[in-house]
Amino acid sequence: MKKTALMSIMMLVALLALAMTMTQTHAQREIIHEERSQYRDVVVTEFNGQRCMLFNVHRGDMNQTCMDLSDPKRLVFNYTKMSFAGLLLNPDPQRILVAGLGGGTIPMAMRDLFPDASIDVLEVDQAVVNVAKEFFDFREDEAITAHVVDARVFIKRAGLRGEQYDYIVLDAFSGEYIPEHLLSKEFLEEVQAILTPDGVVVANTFSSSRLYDYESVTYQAVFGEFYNFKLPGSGNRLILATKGPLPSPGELRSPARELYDALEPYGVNLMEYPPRLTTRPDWDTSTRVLTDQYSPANLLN
Amino acid sequence: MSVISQSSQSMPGVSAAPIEHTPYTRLVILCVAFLNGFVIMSIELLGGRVLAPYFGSSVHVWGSIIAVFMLSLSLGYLWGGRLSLRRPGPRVFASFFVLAAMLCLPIIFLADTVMTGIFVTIEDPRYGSLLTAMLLYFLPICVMGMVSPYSVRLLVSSEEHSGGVAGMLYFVSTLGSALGTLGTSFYFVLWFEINTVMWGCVAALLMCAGAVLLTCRSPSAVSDTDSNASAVAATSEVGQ
Repeated sequence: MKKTALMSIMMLVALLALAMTMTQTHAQREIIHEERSQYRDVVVTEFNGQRCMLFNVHRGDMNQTCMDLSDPKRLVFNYTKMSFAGLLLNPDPQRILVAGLGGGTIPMAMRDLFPDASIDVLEVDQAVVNVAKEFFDFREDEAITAHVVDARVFIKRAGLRGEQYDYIVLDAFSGEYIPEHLLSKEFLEEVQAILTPDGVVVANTFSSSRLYDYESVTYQAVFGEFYNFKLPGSGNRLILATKGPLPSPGELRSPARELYDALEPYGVNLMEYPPRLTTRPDWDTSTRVLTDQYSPANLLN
Repeated sequence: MSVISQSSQSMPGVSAAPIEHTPYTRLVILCVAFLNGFVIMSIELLGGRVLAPYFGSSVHVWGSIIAVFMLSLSLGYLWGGRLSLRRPGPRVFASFFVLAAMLCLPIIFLADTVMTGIFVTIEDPRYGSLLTAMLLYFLPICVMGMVSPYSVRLLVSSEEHSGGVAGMLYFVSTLGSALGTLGTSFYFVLWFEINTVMWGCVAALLMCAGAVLLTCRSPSAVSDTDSNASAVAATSEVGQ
């Protein structure tokens, strides 16, 4: 009898302790919403005054996007800030295409910065669009449209219709990395086909992945020389590519000065970007180019 | 296996197999069934990559591919079974593989043309991918589906071990499918281009046809007793 009583008490204590630790983590990272999706469930958490969107909650919390609740305008992630380096190459975009919505941070900032521009946002997952609207202040209006479509399909169709964009952001990530059909030479050629002669492509990639060399040679094969942009302390590498020859690094300083004030509220210090841009390859140039026929992207990552 | 050879020993000549069973025939038929299963899943896995540039890699693209493969196989089983009722023999069996190999060629040569046409005419990528999958994969996979029931007929020589033969054939062909899926997704796409793997599949199918023609003979050439004797020899060989 005594033994059983003791056991019960011990189990009760253990349960209580477990419950307490659970409420503690609960307070640290509160899940405020879970959206069911065709692909992977989208989770919204709040932590430290930040609201974040996550795809793979069970596999090492990869934040897709975060918002500073006290200052929603200020961009949280370095790579989001870095994507505005594209403005150094095209300071006044009129037709903007953003592949990959996330919380809608980049398109909404572009909407504020360039009220006259028209913006198309591509997002394959309706659930992400819903969550972005409900929790991250993303909204569509006459200038900004979210298309629930695979980026490859939309861009191919835009090319057939002869549509052109002068500012293209490639930021489509699945739970792990960029889907392989959005990494191939053929895809980049389709992107190039809808780029205006003065337009710029801004692609967000990881600087530490095994794919780094593959991506680099593939962009090189399509666009020729491009600007490689990394910042210390950020795991992202931004590719800035144009159709024609790149402007010299010296030419980037004046747009940086002109746009500095407009971008300052977003936490983007555009002035420090031009010296960080380089065309020097820091990858193995003999790496095989990724094509639709050969794209083992997710195996290499 | 030992059960099968015992029963065929105890009841010789109940119903003759449609092919002369030599020591190699059973092995060859099991091998081609294995390769057939391997090739089917290898092609299915590559299908996702073939369609992705035009229809994306959304969940409905996989839905289209898997649905079309299942439909093709189901009808292939049906028609292959029907065909096995009328004078089954190694020639027809080998011709399945040759036909399947030929029908794989449009996947290599015409996929882009077909998909461009469909991409332009059908806006909805769900139905675009479904129609593409139908056009590219229905015929070859259907013919590959015909292999399974037909090989059961070729190996069965009496009623009572038909279940055992069918089970063994399901086992090897589905094992082949499992390895085809794994090999393609883990390694082949890393080593080769999609079309190179497709050529490998065509070559494998043609090899199957060749192996069948080389080893399997119609029993008409030999007398009934000979045929049954060699059937027993073949089964006991595999049984060990």
